[in-house]
Amino acid sequence: MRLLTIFCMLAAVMYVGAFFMTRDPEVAVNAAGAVALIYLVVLVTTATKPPFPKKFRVWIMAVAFVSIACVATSWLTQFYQSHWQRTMLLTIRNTISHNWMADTLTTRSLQTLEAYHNRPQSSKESLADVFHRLNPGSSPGTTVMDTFFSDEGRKIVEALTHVESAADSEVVLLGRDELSPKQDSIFAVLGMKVGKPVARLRLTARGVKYEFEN
Amino acid sequence: MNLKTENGKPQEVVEMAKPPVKLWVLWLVLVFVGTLYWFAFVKWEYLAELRGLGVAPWLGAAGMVIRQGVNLFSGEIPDLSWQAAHLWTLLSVLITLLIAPALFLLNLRQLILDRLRNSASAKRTITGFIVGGVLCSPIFGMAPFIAVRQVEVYQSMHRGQTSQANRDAVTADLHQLAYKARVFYFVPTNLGGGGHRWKNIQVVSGNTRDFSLDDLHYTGPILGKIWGDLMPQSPSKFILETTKDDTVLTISGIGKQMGNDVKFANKDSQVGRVQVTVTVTPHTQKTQEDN
Repeated sequence: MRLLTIFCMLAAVMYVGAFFMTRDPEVAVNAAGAVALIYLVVLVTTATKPPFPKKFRVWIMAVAFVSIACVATSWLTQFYQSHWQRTMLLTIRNTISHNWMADTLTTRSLQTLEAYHNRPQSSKESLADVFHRLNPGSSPGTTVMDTFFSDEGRKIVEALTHVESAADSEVVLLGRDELSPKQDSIFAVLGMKVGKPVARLRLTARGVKYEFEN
Repeated sequence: MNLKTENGKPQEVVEMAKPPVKLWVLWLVLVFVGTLYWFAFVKWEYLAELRGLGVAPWLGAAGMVIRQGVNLFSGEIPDLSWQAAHLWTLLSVLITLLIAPALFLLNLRQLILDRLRNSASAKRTITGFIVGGVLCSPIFGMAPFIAVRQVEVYQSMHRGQTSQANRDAVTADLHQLAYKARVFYFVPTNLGGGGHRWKNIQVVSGNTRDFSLDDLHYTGPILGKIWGDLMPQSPSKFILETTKDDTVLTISGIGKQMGNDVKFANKDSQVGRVQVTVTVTPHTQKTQEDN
């Protein structure tokens, strides 16, 4: 009984300690599970020591070994699966953000490019002039927000387009998804990639170049 | 027959009793009780609140991690503070992995020794054995089945996700190609563009029926940058086609993974692969998942 009490206390301390160190419930449960594993080995050995009949000892040890191995398999599989799913969900989120940003930034640029190359030959409008004409109030430093909704009407992406610079021959737009989680410390704690999805688009008379910042 | 007691002194047993319990029968009983236990937890959700009384604690913890992922996906900050659910999971660890096995095994030992000595077992021993057995039955009785099922689910999820990820990757890359094609369309030929003709698209390899994104001399595939090592994508094939009057451009992307229809005839003569097509006009683009 004393041994059980000691191991219970140890498992609780490991669980709480690991949780507050990592903030990951699975790491915490793993720490407590490791203590439980050691206890189970000690328990099976103690419970089957002489004068316990050898025949039963072998049986019980075999069943205990198979059970513990199966629990460990399930435990580890679930651990990898849940972490994989969490990372995957964030990755899918980033993909959606990048696709929407690419769509927003490129659509604005395409309109400008078409109008620029279709302008009358006598026109002296620069690329930046055409961009400002089609996007009123979009002087360098300004920001436009495009909001996208899911089929259920839920706000899913707030694509922020920031006009970084607009020279005669080049317009640079910066896109960022405002709805992505922004508390970098959370990502750092969870050991994940830090920051919001950001993309930069350079528009020149020759075309557009889309670059990933994050 | 001599049996060694715990204090080391030999003890005479008059007659060797028959095994008090057949272990395989005991194990079957545990499996049965464990099945009932799991069934009850699945059937009546409110019982899930009693996780501390004996359901696999690692599943509860995994649920919390997946919930964090769902929060991140929704653009919310996951709550990383200590909650009641964490206490339940801790209780679950203590009860199902420490206390219940101890109750079960130590009392089982006592029962067997009592029977071998032909002495009656105390009521406390029998009660402890039953309570311990019931509490750890969901884990130790059902363990082989849980493990097999878990591995199956894991493999099936990976297969499904890989196929869907490949389709998403091809779709995202096609979107990029379509945008690039539209940019190309508007740029005059003297600046390296198409001058309002799709047919002017030149692929570096010279083959518009089988080229990679690198052939187009643009930034790399969007998914490759985002997904990286998490879900590495095999290179896809792309096929460009234009209508006779050059008003519509069709780009088909063929992935490496098998799609939903394993008999689907892909445009590059393969069978059953993921395929997505985007139809592009100067002002629009429309995507269709073929397989």
